[in-house]
Amino acid sequence: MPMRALWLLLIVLLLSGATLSFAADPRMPNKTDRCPVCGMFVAPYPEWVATIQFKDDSQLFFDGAKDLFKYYFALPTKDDPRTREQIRDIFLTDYYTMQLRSAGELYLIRGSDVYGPMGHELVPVAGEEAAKTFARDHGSTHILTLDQLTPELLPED
Amino acid sequence: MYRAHLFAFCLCFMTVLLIALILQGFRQAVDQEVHWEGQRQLVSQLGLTDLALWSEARYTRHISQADLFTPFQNMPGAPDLFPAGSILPPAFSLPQTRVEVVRQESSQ
Amino acid sequence: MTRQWKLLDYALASLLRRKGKNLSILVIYTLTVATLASVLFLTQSLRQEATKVLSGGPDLVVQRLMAGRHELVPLNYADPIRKLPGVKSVQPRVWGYYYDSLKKVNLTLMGLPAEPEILVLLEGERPSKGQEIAVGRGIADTYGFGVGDSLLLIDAAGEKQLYRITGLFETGSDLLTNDLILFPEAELRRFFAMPTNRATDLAVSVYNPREVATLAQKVRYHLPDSRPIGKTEILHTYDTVFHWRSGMLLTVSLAALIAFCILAWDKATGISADERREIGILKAVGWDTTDVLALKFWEGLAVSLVAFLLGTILAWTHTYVFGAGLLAPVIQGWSVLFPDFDLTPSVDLYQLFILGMLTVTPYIACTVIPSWKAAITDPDSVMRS
Repeated sequence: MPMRALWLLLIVLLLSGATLSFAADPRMPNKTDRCPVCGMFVAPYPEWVATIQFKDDSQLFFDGAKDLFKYYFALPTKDDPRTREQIRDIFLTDYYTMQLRSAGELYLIRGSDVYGPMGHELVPVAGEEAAKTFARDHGSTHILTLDQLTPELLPED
Repeated sequence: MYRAHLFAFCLCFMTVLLIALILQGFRQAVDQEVHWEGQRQLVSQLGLTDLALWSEARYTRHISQADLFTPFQNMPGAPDLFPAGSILPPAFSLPQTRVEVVRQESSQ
Repeated sequence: MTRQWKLLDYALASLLRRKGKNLSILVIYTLTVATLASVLFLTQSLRQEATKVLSGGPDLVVQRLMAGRHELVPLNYADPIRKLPGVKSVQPRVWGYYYDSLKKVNLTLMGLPAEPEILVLLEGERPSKGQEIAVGRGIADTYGFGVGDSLLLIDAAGEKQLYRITGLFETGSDLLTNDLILFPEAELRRFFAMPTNRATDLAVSVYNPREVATLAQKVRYHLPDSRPIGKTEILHTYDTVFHWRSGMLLTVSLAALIAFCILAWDKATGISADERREIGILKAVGWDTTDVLALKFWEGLAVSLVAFLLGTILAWTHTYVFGAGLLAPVIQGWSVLFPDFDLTPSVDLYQLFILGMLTVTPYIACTVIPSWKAAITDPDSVMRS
C-alpha cells in the first residue's frame, strides 16, 4: 500500500509540475502582435521580444525592455485597468542566448551602443559575468537589476 | 491609322508579355523558397561558405575565404597580382593525383 | 490625339521606306539590350541564390594565419572561443582540395562531422564507415558513375585508396555541391595526413546576429594569429562579385554599351542627305518644326521601344529558359566543373528601369537632335545642300 501511495504522490507531483511549468511558459509573439506602447509589430525583432504575462494567462508583447517597463510603470491606465498585482511574470530576451527569461534573473544594461528598434534600450543579459562583459564590450557602465529600476532610469528614445 | 494601331497593339502585346514574365518570375521565386530552405539546411549542416561555381583556383572556389589579410594575397583583383594575374593563364606544375572510377559489378 | 496617331503612322511608313538600314539598327539594338539585360538577370539571380542559400552558413569562420599564409588551426583554439558569451557552438571543419590530372578537374574534399544523422538533399546514404563517400552531381556526370561505384583516389602518402560512393547530391543543389566529395571526417584526415589535433578552420555559430562583429573582434584579441570571417562578409563578397557594376560582368556589359554608343553616335552624326531633304520638303509643304520633331520622336520611340521590349524578352528567355547558355562560358573562366544554371528569376525593377533609361533615352535624343537642327534651318537651303 505505501508503495502505491508513493507512486500516486509522484504522479500527482509530476502532473502538477507539468501544468505549472506549462502555465509559466510564455508563448512567442505571432505575426499580428503589436507593441502597445509604440504600435510596431513585434515578431520581426526576435532578439528584442519582451512580454508581460498576466495571471489569467494573457500576454502583452513589446519590442524591447524599455517599452515594456514604460507600460509596466504606467499601469493601471484608463485603457488597461489591470494592476501590477495581476502580473504573473515578466519575460525579456537575453541578449547573448536569444532566449526568453524571467526578468528577475536578468541584468539590465543602460546606455550601451546597442540600439533596439526603438532606439536606446535596456539590454537584458543573463548572469553577472556576462552582464559585465556586455557593459565592457558595448561602452556602458550602468548595470541594473530589476528592483533597482525606476521610471526615471528608463532611457530616452 | 491601320499601321499605327497595329504597331501600338504589338507594343502592348510585348509589354504585357514582359510583365507576365516578370510576374511569373516573382511567383517562381516564392515557390522556390521551399527549395532554398532545403539548400539553406544543407549549407548549415555541412558548414558551407561558398557557391561551387569556379573550381579553378582556391580563391575562386572559396571566394569568401580568400586570403584577404595575408601579405601576399591569394585572390583575384589583389593589387600584387594585378595586372599580371589577369593576363597570365594558370600554368603551374600541377599535382599528379587523379580520379579513377571503379564500377560496381552489377552496373556493368 | 488623331494628329499624333497620324504622325506615328507616317513615322512607321518612313521607317519602312528605309527598311534595310532601320532593320539592321533594330537588330543590333535588340542584341545590345538583350546582352545587357541577360547580364543583369544572370547576376541578379546568382546574387539572390547566394544570399538566400548561404545565409544558412556559419556565422563566423575562424582561420589561422602563419608566416603570412593560411595555416591549419589547432583544435584547442576552439576553447577560448567557446567561453565567449553569445557563442552557441564551435565546430572544427576539415576540408581541402584534390586535383585530377587526367580530366584537369579540381575537387573540393570535405570532412563530414558526426552530426547530423540525416543529410538533406542527398540521394542514397550518408557516408559513415571508413571507405565511403558522397559525391556532388557535377563530378558524377563528368566521370559517369553512380551510387555503388567506387573511386580510386591517391592519398597524401601516394597510396591508391578505394572509396565506395554511397550517396549523390540532388540536382537542385548543384550550385553548392557540384564539385564536392564528402568523407567521414576521420577518413579525410587520414587521406590528407592531417594531424588529429588540427582542423582546416573553425565554424562558429552565434545566437544573436548582432553580436557577431563584437565576437570577431574578441576572437582576434584572444587569438591574435586568427582571422575571423563573418557571415555578413561572406554574403557581401557574393553581393560584390555579382553586382552589375563590378567584376567581369561589367566587362561584358561595357563592351555591349560601347557597341551601342557607336551605333547611337553613328545615328546622331550621320543624318543622311536624304533625310535632310525629307525634312526640308515637309517644312516646305507646311509642316511645323514641332510636327517634324514629333515625327522624329515617334520614329526614335518606335525603334527603341521595340528593341528594348524585344531585347528584354529575349534576355529573359535566354537566361531562364536556356540557362544563360551564351553567357555561361564567359563566367566560367577556367573551371572545368561548372554547374548548370537552373536559376530562379529575380528582377530588380529599378535596374530594368535604368536599363530602359540608358538605352531608350539616348537613342531618341540621337534621332531628334540632328533632325531638330535640320528642321530649324531654312527649308530652301536644306533642300539645295
